[in-house]
Amino acid sequence: MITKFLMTAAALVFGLQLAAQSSCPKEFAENQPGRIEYGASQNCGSVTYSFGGVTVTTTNGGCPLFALITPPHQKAARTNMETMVQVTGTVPVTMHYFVCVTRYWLFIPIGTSCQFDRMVVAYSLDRLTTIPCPAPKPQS
Amino acid sequence: MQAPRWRQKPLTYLIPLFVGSFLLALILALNWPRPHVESAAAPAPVTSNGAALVSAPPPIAATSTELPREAATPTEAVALRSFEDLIDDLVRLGQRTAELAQQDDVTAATESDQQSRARFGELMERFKDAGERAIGMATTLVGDPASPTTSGDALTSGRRIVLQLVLRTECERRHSGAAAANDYTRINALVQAALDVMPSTPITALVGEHVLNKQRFLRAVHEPSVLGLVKLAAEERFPREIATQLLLTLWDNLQLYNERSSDEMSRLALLLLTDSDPSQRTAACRQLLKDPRYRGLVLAWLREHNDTNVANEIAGLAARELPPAEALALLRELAPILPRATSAYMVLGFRAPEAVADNYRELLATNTNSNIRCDLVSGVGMARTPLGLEVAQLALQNDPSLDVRMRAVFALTSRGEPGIAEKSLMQAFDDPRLTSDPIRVGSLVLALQNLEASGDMNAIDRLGQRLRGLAMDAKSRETLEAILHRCLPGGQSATPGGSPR
Repeated sequence: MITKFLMTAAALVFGLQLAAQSSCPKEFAENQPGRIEYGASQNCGSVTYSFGGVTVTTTNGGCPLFALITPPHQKAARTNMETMVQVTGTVPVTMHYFVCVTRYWLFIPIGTSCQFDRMVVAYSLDRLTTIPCPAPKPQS
Repeated sequence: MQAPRWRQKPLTYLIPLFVGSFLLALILALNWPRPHVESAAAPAPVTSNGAALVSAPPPIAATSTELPREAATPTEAVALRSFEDLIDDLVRLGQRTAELAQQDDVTAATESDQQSRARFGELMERFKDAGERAIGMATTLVGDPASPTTSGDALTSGRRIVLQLVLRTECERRHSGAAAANDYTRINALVQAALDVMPSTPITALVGEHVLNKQRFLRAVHEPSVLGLVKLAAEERFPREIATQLLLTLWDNLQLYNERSSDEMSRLALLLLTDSDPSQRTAACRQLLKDPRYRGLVLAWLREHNDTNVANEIAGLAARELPPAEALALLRELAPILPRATSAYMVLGFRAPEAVADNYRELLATNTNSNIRCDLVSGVGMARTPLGLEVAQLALQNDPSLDVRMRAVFALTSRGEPGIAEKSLMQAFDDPRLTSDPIRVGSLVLALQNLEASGDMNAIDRLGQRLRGLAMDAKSRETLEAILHRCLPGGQSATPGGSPR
């Protein structure tokens, strides 16, 4: 009888602890570096282009259809700490389109014919910050 | 009147004149610069038909490059000038052609262009070692190839472009000759020389990449040098992107020339898959992805290692190189490791919009994989095609996921069509699930930014007024006010329902 009571009590305590733990997602805002990804290349020379401190350069005769520029941001990552992430705002992921200007048919292509066309916001990412999980409420 | 003396005794004067003329002719003949002096010193030409070689089109992008056959005979001007001077002549001619074309002087530009072709042909005919000379001259160039800012940089950039052209043409002609004679000694030596100088300067790295990347010149004999560049990239002493591209090209060529079988390459790739070097790993992944037998293995490896960087690389490679249906299937398999692969879907959206649209409709019908649906909508929607419009409107109207709807709003506002953009934003404003969330409202502000370029002040004013009344974070409000300030006179909205003007 006593053994059964003790086991039930232990299970209850353990269960409550688990419940308290599971209410905290144990995540933190992990910084992600900015990145540039390029679309397929058009065959008309390379391009160097700067935007917001980021320079887009294609080295080998490639004029990308687009460059997708993701600024530094955060993503939720697992941790052992009693923390969680909070969304504090948004950051824009921008898409930069390039076009081949085929006005010149030059034998020697002095002057690039790959030109920036336009920039749009393609989507947004959440800006995150790490905050402590709320303390578990005392059981009544 | 007495006759002149020379009429009285003509031989007295004519003999010295003949002798003098003969001596002058002899001196001239002995000292006249011979146009083919370099070709005599150079190794045996790759073909007996030099003119045909020179008339081969230099493989540069988007240019009609067939060289005139009459250019095979070097002119006096070319014969007298050094290789370096001729390169500079070509740079000047190219710049002149560009200027004339800019001034819409088509006749003069065409003439100048023809002159460039002729000069180039003469240079290639005269210097049978033009490739080696180009490599040598490239090592002397100094400057920042990425951002020419001064006239000196522009000259360097021009020289680099011409030298690349010379080296590529030389590689082409040696390769043609090598294929005909089944002797690749000369082309291999030239490629080796280019590889050897690549680490010297940023310019030589660019020249080498331009000439060798995605071309058939790299062979098994060059493998140690390419791996040397990969090693330098690991030490951050050489551009990683170039090293990776050359390794990928080498692997392609090893199979192209049957220097290694597909199975051998795959076995090598399996070994390299666990290599810590990113270039080797990328090459390994690409090799294994090409073979459907090994695709599952790559995915299993990725799941085990949970490496998002490699997963991103693989997603990009798949989107660019695999057949669209296979790429879509692979991207879906990657989703647990890579929840977002927007760029890869965008690449596919340009390559195969129908396949991406079908994939979206399929997932929408089953209301599954909302993360993938986000990327599919962006993938097809950002391509500004009628199909992109159709899919984005479908998503905004019917997709249960708010994230997907937001992607649709971005796609619809980025098309440069103010009417469509305004309608989509108004539709979003009418959805309380979107407008009650300050973070999503912040995203709508970013979508409004897409309308700026359209210059439709009235639409921006109407949308701005709606947004001003919604709760959002401070940064988004700042962005909104900045947009309105830029677009509206004094940043002021008109009275509700009215026009700012």
